[in-house]
Amino acid sequence: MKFTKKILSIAITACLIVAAGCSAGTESVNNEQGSTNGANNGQSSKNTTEKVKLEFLSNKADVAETMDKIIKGFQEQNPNIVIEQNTPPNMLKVLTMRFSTNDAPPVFTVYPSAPSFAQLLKDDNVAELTGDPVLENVEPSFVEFSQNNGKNYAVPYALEGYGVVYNADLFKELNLGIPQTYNELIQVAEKIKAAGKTPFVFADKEHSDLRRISAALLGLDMTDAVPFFQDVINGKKHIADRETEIRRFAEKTLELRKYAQKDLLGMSGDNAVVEVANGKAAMYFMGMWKALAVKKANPSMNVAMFAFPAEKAEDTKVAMQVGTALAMPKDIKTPDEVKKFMAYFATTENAQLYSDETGQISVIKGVTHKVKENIGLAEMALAGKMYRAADATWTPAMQEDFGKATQELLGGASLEAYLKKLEEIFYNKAS
Amino acid sequence: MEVEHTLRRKWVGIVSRSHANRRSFNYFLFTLPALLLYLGFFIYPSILGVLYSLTDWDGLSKSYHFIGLDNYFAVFKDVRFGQALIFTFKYTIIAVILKIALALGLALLLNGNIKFRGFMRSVYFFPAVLSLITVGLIFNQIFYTILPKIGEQLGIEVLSKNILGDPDTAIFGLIIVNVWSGIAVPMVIFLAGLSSVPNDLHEAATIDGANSLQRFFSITLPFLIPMLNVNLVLSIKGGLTVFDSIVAMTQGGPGTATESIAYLIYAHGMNEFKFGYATAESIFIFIMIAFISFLQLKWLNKKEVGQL
Repeated sequence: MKFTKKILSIAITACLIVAAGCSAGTESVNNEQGSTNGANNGQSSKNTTEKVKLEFLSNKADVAETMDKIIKGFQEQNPNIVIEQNTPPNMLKVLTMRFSTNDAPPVFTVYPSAPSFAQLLKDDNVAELTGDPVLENVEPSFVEFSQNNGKNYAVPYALEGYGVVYNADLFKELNLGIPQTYNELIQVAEKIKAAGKTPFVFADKEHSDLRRISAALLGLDMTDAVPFFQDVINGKKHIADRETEIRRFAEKTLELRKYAQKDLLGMSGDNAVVEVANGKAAMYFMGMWKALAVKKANPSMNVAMFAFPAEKAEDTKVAMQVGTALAMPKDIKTPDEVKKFMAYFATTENAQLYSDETGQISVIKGVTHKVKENIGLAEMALAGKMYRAADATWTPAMQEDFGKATQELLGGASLEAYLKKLEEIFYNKAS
Repeated sequence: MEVEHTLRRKWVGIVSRSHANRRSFNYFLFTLPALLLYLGFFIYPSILGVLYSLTDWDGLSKSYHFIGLDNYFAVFKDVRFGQALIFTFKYTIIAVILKIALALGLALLLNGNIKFRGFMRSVYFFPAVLSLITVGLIFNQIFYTILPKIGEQLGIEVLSKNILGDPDTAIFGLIIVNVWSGIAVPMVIFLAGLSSVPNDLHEAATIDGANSLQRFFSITLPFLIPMLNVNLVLSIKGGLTVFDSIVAMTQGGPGTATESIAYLIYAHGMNEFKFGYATAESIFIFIMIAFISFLQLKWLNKKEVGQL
């Protein structure tokens, strides 16, 4: 008998392990049929209180507190809906994984213009929202701006963009104005250099940061950069067809580095913020969230931003993308609850709170931009003086390769080698 | 009920047929949970991996195509993969030599009669308990702020800037970090080995007039071969699969100067959505490591004590 017991206990253990595996299996099957709530959420929606739990997967850990405030307000109005914010590191990769295992969260943040979102759309994973009432309170031009192939798959809330973060105190001290043209920018840099400060800091150690500002610079001078690169990717054109413009961009990239910190490829993004915050460097060309990071590192300093100037003052525009947008998976069980939340976040009152606390440029009707660090950029963007950076339609592989090729250019590779490399990266790479 | 009863009787009948039989079956049942876990979490995914490597799956789509061995051919033609291979080997050779030599040296020192021996041993073991990502992030700051200052003071051009920012020196930044944090485990294994070296042999050799160098090479080292063996396998494997420090410190940069194979697999699979291709690369590196480990075990086994 003792022996049978032994066998039984082992068999039970084995069964439990197998069963655990099986139950995980059924979960994903359920999800395939449309329940995206996950196992625990599904159970809780069945219990007596009838609460619906929605997981909100976000890539914005830095604005989680603001979102919590908005979620709290939403839950007060809708006591039967519980929203759980989840901001894992590498969220875009987590999201891809969750989709591939049929475990997509019911609502998540996206970058509508980014290839990561296009990847999800390719497989028809995301619910279409074209003409949906949730978009009603969004400025119509930005409803259009956040479209993919002429359709809306995400609710856009705010823009983020690129510009030059600068030390306003130092500019005042040296009596410098905001440069309106590229030549003026170089003159300003000369003056700062003469005053013994570092004019620019570039976080070129991070290939993704370098890629972002390079693509913004490229798109500024070459107004049709996005369609041109699309043609190159499709094998219809060559990099050499627009050689003079791309050369000019590369020369500018190198010229700006003459006024930068001496250890070009050794500077990380965090260190660059510190350099500006402690007053050593005057200007930092990067995303507008960096202005707030500098402000946080040194609250007593006056930090502001200006748009990176074009060759002619009237051509100056600001590189923008939709930075905050929400989307939901196709065929979910609780679309109404999710849309309720999307619409609540799109009310003027909440969008104003979001803009005030995060500095993002709201595209919701009736919101006024009050954050003074980047108000200049916000005014330009909302007046329509904006463009998409050249990398808007590149695949993640192209983006990474471009960033790394530009690092090699800064590391001493020749312009010819750089152009050749670009041809390799882009020409006829559509798949 | 009836059926179950007969079944159980049959089971018991089968297993109690002979004592030895029953025992081995018993043992087999004990291995069953581990076996199932191994099958479910290792063998099954490995087989799936081989299958995925024959497809053009992007890691996300619900549909994919079988494309035969195209991924493998593409891996061989890929210049970036070749560069990563060269980098990985260069890194492995330097890191393994430094790791083993320093670990052996430290083990010999810590095995001697020194003050606070236990304390000193834990001090040198300490880096092993820290996550390599954390260590990498800390060293990022050391290389950015502290080292260049020292370099400037000493007037050494190479050290006066962030060594991770230069394609030629970035590899050494990675090696420094990996050796610093990876030295502890081989050191402990060597320490364990040193305690198995019989003292009387040393005494006899001393009486015969052998100096300390001769004693080390003729007595200590042969006894350490099994440990050296284990350490070599571990650190070569660690070197060929170097990944986390690269993610934390250089992201393969500047340019593509510090892309290891493991980093490239990650970049292809996770950033560039070439899942099938990345799987083919990882099977390639799996075969390579298996081959190298096999050669090395064969070669070093011949040199052990008792087989000289």
